[in-house]
Amino acid sequence: MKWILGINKEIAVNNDQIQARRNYIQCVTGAEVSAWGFIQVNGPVRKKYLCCMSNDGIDGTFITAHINDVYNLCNCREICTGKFVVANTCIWVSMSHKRLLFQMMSVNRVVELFFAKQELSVDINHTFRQSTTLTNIGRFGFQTSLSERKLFANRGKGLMEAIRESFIPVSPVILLGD
Amino acid sequence: MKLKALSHYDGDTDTRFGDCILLYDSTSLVVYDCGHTKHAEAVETFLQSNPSISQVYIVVSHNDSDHTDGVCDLLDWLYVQQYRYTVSVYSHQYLKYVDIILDKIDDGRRTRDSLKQSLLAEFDNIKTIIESAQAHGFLTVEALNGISVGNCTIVGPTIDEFTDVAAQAVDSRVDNNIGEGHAEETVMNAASVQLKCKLDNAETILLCGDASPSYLHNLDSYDIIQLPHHGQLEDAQAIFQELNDPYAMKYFVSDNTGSGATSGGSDKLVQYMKDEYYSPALNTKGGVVFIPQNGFGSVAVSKPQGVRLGEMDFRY
Repeated sequence: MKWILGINKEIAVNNDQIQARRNYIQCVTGAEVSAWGFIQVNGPVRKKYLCCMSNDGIDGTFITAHINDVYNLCNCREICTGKFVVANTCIWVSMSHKRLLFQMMSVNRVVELFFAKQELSVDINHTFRQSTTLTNIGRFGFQTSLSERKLFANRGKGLMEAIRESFIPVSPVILLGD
Repeated sequence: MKLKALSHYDGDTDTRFGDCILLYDSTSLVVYDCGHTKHAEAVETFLQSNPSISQVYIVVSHNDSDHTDGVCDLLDWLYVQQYRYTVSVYSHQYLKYVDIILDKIDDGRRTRDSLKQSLLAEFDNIKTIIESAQAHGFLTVEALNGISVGNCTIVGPTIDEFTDVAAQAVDSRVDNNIGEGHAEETVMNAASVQLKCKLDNAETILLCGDASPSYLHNLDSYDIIQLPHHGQLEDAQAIFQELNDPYAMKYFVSDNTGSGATSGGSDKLVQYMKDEYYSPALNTKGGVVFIPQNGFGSVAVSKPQGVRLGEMDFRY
């Protein structure tokens, strides 16, 4: 499985936190994890991200980054042709999670998308947002989202089951309330 | 309010001192349990060094000796202070609910009077405390859900829950445990009086004695939760399970259980919290606990700041 991290200072923070995140990945996958390396995505904006691989035989990608970076990354064939993507990020703009799924389904009709659990927040323009906050609580050693903490707590159930319980699956069906 | 949770004395970690948690401001003191005469002496010393305190509220969470053994000594001391303190004692008063409990048992054999005798025998420590308080002329108050105790509030158990407990305690036909799975508690523990208090740093704490997790409600509304029964692992796990984000909560443990083989305590919990990356609980096993920790605090504690993953560079 691929694990991708935005390199923005507020997400990656420092080397200690990046290494703590790698230890976390080892714990939740129970597999060997490669060292972090850089990948570059040639989208509308050429941008680098940190990436490591867990040797667990699972064909999916876990992305912790701002939502625009998740869009950028999911344009990559290597990512959207996998079995699933876990977007550890904010929905922020209404329906952006559905749009991301549709974007990936245009390449891979059976891809699954999971989003981090969202909270309702108000931004500086007084607009309601569905958001995910990374916070340095507990003894993880790096900033985690609520879903990441739940993933850790559920790790004994196996990685896929833990992901299903800790993140929200995005349905392609659009309901009236969406 | 500030919290001071008492610990062991003179380096003696073998003796079971039980619980004694003080909540106080400049004029009042709430004593939540007093499980040993040493704790009673410590409360006396505390009152002597805080002469502006005139109201003393004593909450007896439940009948077990490690929560009650120092209460009568403390009441005696308060009595000989010659009306310097206004004293109120809060506990469950099971006899007032004898008819409800009789209905719950419904074994066709018990009379009202025989049930009263059974309740008095079963809840003997509470009986002694209430009799002692009344003999000294102190107010005795039923610890009912919603009752104010100084600046604190009793938030559980409900009448239905504690009469269930009383019925189960005196009914020999039923199991003596309440709760599910590993988080079972004996009936005596299960209905411990729960106390909610807002501290000087604006954090709200829940004290719950040895209560069964199934009797604790609205857990996400607190900032600090006492992990019940001196930090018993299974109870704590049930609470973690119940919380939306257990890592975002602070925890407090009153573990003065000593070194007896069957004393219980928080050792397994401490290891579990370490393995699961929880921040460690504030634990009296390591000494007296103060909350707020610096002893001051009129300023609200700020929540840990985080980064929202949509706020930066959003465009697509």
